[in-house]
Amino acid sequence: MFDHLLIQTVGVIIVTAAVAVMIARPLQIPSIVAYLFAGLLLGPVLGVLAVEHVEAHAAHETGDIGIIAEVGIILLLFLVGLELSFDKIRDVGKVAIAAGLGQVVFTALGGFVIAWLLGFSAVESAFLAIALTFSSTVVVVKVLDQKGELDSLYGRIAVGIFLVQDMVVIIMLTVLTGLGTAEAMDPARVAVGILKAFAGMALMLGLAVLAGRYLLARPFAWISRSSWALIIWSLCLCFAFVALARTLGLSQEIGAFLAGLSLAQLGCSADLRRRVHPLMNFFVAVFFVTLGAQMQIDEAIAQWDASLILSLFVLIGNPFIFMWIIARFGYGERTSFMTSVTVAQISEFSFIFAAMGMSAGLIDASILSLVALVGLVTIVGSVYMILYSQRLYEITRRSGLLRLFRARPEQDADGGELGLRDHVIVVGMNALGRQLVRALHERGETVLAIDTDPLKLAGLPARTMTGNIDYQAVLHDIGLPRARLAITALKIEDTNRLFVYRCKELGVPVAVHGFDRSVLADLREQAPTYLIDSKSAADQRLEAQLRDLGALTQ
Amino acid sequence: MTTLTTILAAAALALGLARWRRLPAVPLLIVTGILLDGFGLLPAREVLGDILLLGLAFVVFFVGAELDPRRVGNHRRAALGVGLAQFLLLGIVGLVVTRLAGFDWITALYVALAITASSTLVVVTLLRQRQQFFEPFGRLVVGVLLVQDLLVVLLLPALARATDGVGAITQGVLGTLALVALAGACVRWISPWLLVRMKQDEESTLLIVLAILFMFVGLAHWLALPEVTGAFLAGVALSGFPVRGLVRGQVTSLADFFIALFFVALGGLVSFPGARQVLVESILLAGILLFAPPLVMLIGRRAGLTVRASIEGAHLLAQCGEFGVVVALVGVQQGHIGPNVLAIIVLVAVVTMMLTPLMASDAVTWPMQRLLMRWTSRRGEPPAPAERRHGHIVLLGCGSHMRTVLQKLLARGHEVVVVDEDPDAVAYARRQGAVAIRGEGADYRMLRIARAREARVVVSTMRRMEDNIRLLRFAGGSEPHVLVRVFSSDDGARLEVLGGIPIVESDAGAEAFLQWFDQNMPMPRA
Repeated sequence: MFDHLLIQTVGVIIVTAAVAVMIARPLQIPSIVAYLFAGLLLGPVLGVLAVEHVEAHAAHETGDIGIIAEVGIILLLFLVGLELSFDKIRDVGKVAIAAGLGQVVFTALGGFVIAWLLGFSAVESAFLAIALTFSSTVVVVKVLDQKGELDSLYGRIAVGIFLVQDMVVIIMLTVLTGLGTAEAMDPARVAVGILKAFAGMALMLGLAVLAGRYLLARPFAWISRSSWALIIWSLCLCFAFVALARTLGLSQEIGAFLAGLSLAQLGCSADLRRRVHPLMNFFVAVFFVTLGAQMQIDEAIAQWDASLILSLFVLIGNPFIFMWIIARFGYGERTSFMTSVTVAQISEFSFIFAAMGMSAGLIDASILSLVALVGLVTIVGSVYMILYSQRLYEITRRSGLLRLFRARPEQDADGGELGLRDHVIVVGMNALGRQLVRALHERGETVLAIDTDPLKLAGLPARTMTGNIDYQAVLHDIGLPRARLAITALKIEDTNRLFVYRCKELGVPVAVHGFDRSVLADLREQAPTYLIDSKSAADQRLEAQLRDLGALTQ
Repeated sequence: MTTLTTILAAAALALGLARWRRLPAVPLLIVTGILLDGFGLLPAREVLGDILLLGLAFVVFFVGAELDPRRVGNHRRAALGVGLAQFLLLGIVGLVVTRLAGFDWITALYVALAITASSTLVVVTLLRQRQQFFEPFGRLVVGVLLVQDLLVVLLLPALARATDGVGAITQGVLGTLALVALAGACVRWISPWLLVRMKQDEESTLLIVLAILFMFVGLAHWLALPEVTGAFLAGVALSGFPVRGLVRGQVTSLADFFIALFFVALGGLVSFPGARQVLVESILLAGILLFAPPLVMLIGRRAGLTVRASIEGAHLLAQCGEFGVVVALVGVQQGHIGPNVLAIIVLVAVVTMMLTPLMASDAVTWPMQRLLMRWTSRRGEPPAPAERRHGHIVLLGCGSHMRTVLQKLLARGHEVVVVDEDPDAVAYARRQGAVAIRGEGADYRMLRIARAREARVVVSTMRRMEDNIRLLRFAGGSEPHVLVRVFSSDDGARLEVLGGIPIVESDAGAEAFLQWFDQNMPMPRA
């Protein structure tokens, strides 16, 4: 019953990834690149990790490492959905469809011509061209998430484009399955398949809107008082959407994204996002390491010139095509540029696509290897391009190159964070916390109240946030480093101690609730700015009351 | 993926039910797993085994990371005494019952070890829910849990290799000690250096934490120890301050996910019991629920707890917890016990965990207390007879600040009666010249002995709201004045209706804070 293979594999992957990330961090190498190289080391170099090109859209119930990697993609897209809302998506719908489809056509044409000129056969060129067409949603979303710019205008356009491309992938798969079968392709069946995909998409979108607007609000408000139940309910919803998407012949990414989108409108979505984040980080690390392990690039080294040219086409040509399309929609120069940079890589699907071509006997192993090398080069290159896109934009703008695209020179208004400053943070909305919030508000302070229970935040005269301060991301969201004073009224010893520790690290004045005598000594040792000893304060009142009753007068 | 979705759906159902009926989540998760399997909705056992192994590592790791001897406060000796005694007594019960039911020695040892450990997950949640974490008995219970978990984890390696001879057992013990030493080094030097000094971001923190987990599991495997020993010690390696706090956010999400999967998958592996199984289960249940609590109570009393605290403590500890299940799974992994024994242990765990909130509720505690009191008084231990005093002052609870109040009252010539469950407080009050009674302030008998109704003023610093309500039902009204210290003004309002004079901690704390704030944090000029 107990086979240790899975836990061993996960263990090896995680330990290698951790070491790679620890080496990479001081060298300012992004984590994705570190994961890919960890995968390369484990797979092609050491041969410890043998991962087949699992066809993600028809994964088997094997319980193997492929499923863990898939969960990573699902959670990542779920998070993207949670970050956005229907309105934000609707805004960028048109440009996403046009750019997504336009880019597929232009890149495929360009890729085919280049490959053909490089001497590949027509079939090989066709496969290479299609493989170059897809950009990797996972890579881009992960980097945008790391930059904290998923919610920016260009981030939203990019996500929209990837979802459109996902639909194209589904159509391609339908066509390819037709090609792969022994009999001649049945155009009617392919057409039905495509129609089914569109109908499914419409159905799921309708369901997500319905769920988000009407069905989920009450049950999730009720369950959100139990944090364990909240995260399991949300994940359950996510995987239910994924299952439905697969039943309807759609990709699981679309299912996960729509599940996230339906929850994005709810009050608990920010808290949920922070809770799902660590889970996603774990699974996505496994995904990228296994992706690296799949990159059998040895054969492609001999074709380095072809790989280089194709990689340059993806890294430079793709963004150019995009920039041109997006600028036609009236977006500003900066947004057009930043969005375009995100598409400069090929996707994990490109490998699957090439592997399917190979198993159908249409191309040989050297093409698969070539795709892998181009994948490695473009993913690594584009990660840097996205991370440093602002600097890249400045350089390109100064060179005058952007004028060719005739985009609006002014910058688009990009919804940024409001950024509180000199505010007072009050954590824990028990009786003390609520009282402090009210009193500080009356004194004219800008107060931010936080609690894990949204109901406790209701009706307070302050900015409020649902969240758990154990999460580092919450500290960032509440602008702790810029706060004038942070107060924790909580009656949770560990959390209070950690909060004081973090505030002291940041040099933020902190007041902490010493709610019980047994916790006072440890808190005093940490030397908070002020220790709220409510029991002693009450005892003094008690003494005064005794005096009033004449018990303490002579 | 379908398996994952099904298990998540089952977990969502169980957690929803737990939230709705305020029941412990763990047994409900197991029950939904059993039901899923019953309806044939779960896949092959191999897939469940994979989920179970990963989940197991996370469950044990999480419990290890939450271990903190500081929480026990100054109840360490008592915790050690109660923990060891309960461990030995239940161990003997398990051993005898399983042997009498015809199982072999090794099975009996597994069952014995499995039923000795109470559930940290259930008990800590209950203590937090009832805000009893910081009460003396709460700290004692946490200490006992810690002792039990440590005993199980340290004995498990020896048991897992029990059939391989003395050499292997010694090797197992030495290997465990080596891992313990490594965990110690991690707590002291390695984890703070990696996670605090190096200032990691969230992603790297998570990876390092998981890498530590998997390295300990790998080392345990290499040393031929059960993987759970490695996972538990990995948790311990991260349990220092501030490391534990820094990683908690990251670990909690993963633990939430994997613990839910683990218990549902576990339920899926349990087969329905046969007649012999039911018999063994019933006897074990009786052992845990009926035999163990009185003994723990007795030891608790010896260790200085009041009757009520020892009853509550004993009932809170009266269940077979997640570590029992862990022991059983290790037994199955080693091929020492069969699925039927696993089923016995899991079902015992489910039933006892479900009953815990009921057993430790006031509805059970007070009648038990009355019963015990009657019994002890019949055995010739009546409390000191009440003197016919009148117009005195009664202090229910005599903590550090109340001691100055006590001194002042005595200095002004008042007659003061102190009721406190803490023997130190009672001794102190007596030294100061007050009449002091050891016991619960919410116990009507104690209130009668203290002649609370005839007093001029009654001052309560008891923590629990229900206790103060009981007090006011007994002595509320205009005479005597009953001053009650409570946390929130809502609680204060409830007590005011019953005739009490509330002294609200949050009001007092806020006032003191605002005074400081106005003096030290003036508004910056715009």
